[in-house]
Amino acid sequence: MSAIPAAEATPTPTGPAPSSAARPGRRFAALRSARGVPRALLLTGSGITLFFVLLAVFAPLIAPYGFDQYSANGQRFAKLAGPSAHHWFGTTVQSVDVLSRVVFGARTALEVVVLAVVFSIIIGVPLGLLSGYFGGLLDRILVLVMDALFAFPYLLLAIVIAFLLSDVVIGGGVVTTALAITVIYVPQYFRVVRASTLSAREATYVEAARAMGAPARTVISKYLFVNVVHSVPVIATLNAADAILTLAGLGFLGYGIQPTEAAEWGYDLQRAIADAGAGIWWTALYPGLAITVLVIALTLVGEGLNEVVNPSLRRARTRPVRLPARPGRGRGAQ
Amino acid sequence: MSAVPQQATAPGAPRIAVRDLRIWYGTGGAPVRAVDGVDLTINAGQTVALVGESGCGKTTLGRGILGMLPPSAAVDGEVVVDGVDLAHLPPRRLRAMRGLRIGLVFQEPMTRLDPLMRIGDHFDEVLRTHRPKMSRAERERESVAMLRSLGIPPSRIRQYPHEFSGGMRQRIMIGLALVLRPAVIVADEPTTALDVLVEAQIVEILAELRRNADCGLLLITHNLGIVAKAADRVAVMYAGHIVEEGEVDRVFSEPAHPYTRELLRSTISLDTSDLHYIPGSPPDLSAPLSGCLFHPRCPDAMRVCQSRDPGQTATAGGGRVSCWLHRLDELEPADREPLPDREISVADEA
Amino acid sequence: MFILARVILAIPMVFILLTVVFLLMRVAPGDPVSAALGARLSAGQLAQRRAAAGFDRPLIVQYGDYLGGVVTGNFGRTITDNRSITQVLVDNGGATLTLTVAALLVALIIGLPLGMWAARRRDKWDDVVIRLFGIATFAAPVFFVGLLLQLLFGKTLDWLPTSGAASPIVAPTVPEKTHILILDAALSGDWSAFDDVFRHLILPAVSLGLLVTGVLIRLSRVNVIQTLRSDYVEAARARGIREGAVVLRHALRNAMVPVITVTGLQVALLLGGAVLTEQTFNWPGVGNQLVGYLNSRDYTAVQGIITVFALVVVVVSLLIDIINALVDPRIRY
Repeated sequence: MSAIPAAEATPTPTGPAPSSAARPGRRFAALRSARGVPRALLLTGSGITLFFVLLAVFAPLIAPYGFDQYSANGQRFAKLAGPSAHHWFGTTVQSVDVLSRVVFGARTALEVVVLAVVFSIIIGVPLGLLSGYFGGLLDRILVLVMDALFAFPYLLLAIVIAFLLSDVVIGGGVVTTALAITVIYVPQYFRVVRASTLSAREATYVEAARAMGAPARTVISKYLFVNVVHSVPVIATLNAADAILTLAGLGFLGYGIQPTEAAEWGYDLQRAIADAGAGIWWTALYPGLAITVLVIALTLVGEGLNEVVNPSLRRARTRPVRLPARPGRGRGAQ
Repeated sequence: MSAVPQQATAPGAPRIAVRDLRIWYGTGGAPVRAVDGVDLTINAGQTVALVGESGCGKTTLGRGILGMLPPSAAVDGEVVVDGVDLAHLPPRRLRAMRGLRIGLVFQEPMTRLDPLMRIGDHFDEVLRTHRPKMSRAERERESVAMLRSLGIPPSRIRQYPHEFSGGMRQRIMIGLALVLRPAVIVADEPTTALDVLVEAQIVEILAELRRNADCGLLLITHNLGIVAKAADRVAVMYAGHIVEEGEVDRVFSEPAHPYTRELLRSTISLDTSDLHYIPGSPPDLSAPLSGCLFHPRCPDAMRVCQSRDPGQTATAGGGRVSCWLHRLDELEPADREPLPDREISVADEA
Repeated sequence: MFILARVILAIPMVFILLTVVFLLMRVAPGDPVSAALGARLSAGQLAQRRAAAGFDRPLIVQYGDYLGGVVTGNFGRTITDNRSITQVLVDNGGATLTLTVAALLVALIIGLPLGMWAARRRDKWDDVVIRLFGIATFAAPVFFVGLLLQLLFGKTLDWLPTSGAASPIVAPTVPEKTHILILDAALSGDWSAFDDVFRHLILPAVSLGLLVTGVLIRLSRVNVIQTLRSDYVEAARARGIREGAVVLRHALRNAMVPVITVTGLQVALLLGGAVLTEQTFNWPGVGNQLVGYLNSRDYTAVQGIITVFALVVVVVSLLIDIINALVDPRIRY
């Protein structure tokens, strides 16, 4: 739900990108050199994320039933039945299989998050580049507006946008939700990219290119873009984690995906409030766990990448030494 | 200093005696022998300067005396201050000795004071920690007296560090180290971060300290001008060893160790006609070494220098030197043969 | 002097925020009155309501009106039930304030000590556990945590209430003075009422608090690690200051400056989370009202409430700067 973790966990993006981040080759070398706990966390996070991606891609093959299927072989499923051999995670009040909804929920989450991150990058990165490169009035207005959006309670912003879009413009659905989430993250990409553009603009080779009369378009696309784009993966990963939460928040308030369209974890949790009052736990636990575990995994990947990109966050390991016993007192002292 | 010493120490009595101190750092591979068998004594009212190239172990020795070393360091030997061996003290008691018996002045004063704390509170904190029975009024009186003696108007006691210049902050740091009248103060390159005029002020204060207080001062520096102005004795450190020690006048006029001689020749002054430097660079302290550690760079190196440690030889004026040139009579003629001309790699230094 | 300068600096921010809110609410085609009431009223009645609310005038005039209203503390009236936004704030603001303040307290009480402990035990097993806990509290949606707490403490253990701000029989007995229920209950001297209100607060406050806890753990950990490595901390150790005093007086105090700043930024997170928490626990706050007005398509109500939220963010960031100036002498002038 927050836009803060990205800004916080990544000191680099707020300033100029470090030179080590500017070379992908070195980054992968650093990835291999990550050790111990950070490495374990990074690998765990990547593994879990991959698991969810596979769930999403192969949802129809993995899920035992459809996301809105309430009967099989002409027989209606039991209503609010506890976990059993037929329904591992139980069923909902509409007799839908919880496991199937959780699996299809991964698909919805993946679609929305990928779209939202892609939209944010498509909008935020060029705006940041232009604003940072040209400066002037455009830059000032954009900075003010982006700062205002950034200061805004982001969930509310997403709610309002989702509300307006679904109400009047294009109707609900995956794209609407992704757009609502995009509005929250554009300011982040804008800030980071603008900051690194400002510093890269002063770099010698860019100045040289400009001095030789290269048009702005060439300078931006050839030199600046390559340099600036390296800070993006870390924010993108952390934003993806955040976007899952925002999507769930929207769904929980009824402004996300419509229940007939696809399975969505946040919506399921909203429906689970009434069940919780009756002491029914399975309709809340499984979708909630899915959200939590996926967000944790993405956060671990993001922080792991961040540590890899900023080696300064790592610590050199030293071991205490044991002094050897002395050969007699002193080395020839009086 | 205007302050009266609390316990009178006979002038000339040793305040600190470092005996055969070794400090090795663990890295991942072979340990780095940053300090390797150092002996050093400082008497009351005496200033001993510790000089040498960067990376020779000066700072490690200074920190090691206070037990302020990273966890990867191993310490062995004795650091006796007023009869107590700090090297073998449990951490709690060592902590109580810091500030009380032994003070440290750092290289860069700008970042050494807590930015959220008034100057007076820094003094108050030290006094309260080590003299719990002192009343608030007494503590304030002590702080004011200390500041005044360092030329800082007592009216500024309620100001914050950022309101002071670098030179003033260094004076405050010296005051904080001195306010409990410790036996020894270690000043680690106290003027390196300051500009020349401020440097002169600080050197003046240190020289004053030598005349008036009965504490010993270990002045770590690579500035030989400061040594000449503010120190009584000088210890020359090379690769974790003290290769020569003696009165400043004697060492400067008749350096006994080739390294000291080369170091003095490298100093730039007004009458320097051509620049001199010592070719090569100090040895890798984690590599196995034998003989005199300076022999690869020594213009006077003999065959024996490669294989055998020269030990220590007394010099005139109560000093000592570690060099075979002073023990020639002990050597076989074959040992005395000069080493063939060696390629001293200057490129190392780049 | 400092405060005045800071207030003046906040003005353009407020202006931009208000403009963004206004534009957002007006990009939608159609007018707010027919959106909210179109199905229920005749065309004539709608036109009348539009004229009364001023929606028939040019957009720029409405914009000026809106800004003028905000300056004079008038945030407009709702369309559906014709309440003033101020009235909404009086009726429901206390509950949201109670919830957010209590959540912040929970977050501070859990997050700061854990973060500091993790910093001192850097890379040891407890540091890893605390960091994972921090990530988990942030990763778990606040409504999921709320539901789990409801299931555990409300159902299984049956210790705490899970819905509303007070029991239906208790709420009317508390005399209204401050419009903040828990204060009113305390002021009334009726301890059973206070106990009831307090018990209702626990689960929502913990749910929302845990959300911010993760941020605080990370924040205090990173900053304490930095100050513990700082030159002045080493210098204090060299003066023989006790380790406890070094950590508390020097490392923690200095780490607090950035921690306060970023905690202030969390108000946006807190307000967003409050909307969700209020939904989960049926908490009678402004967020709950907002969701209600969204569902009934009441644009002016939404606009008014969002405006208030935006102003709260600005005011809090102002307060944070002032607090920081009190803590850090370098900021003052």
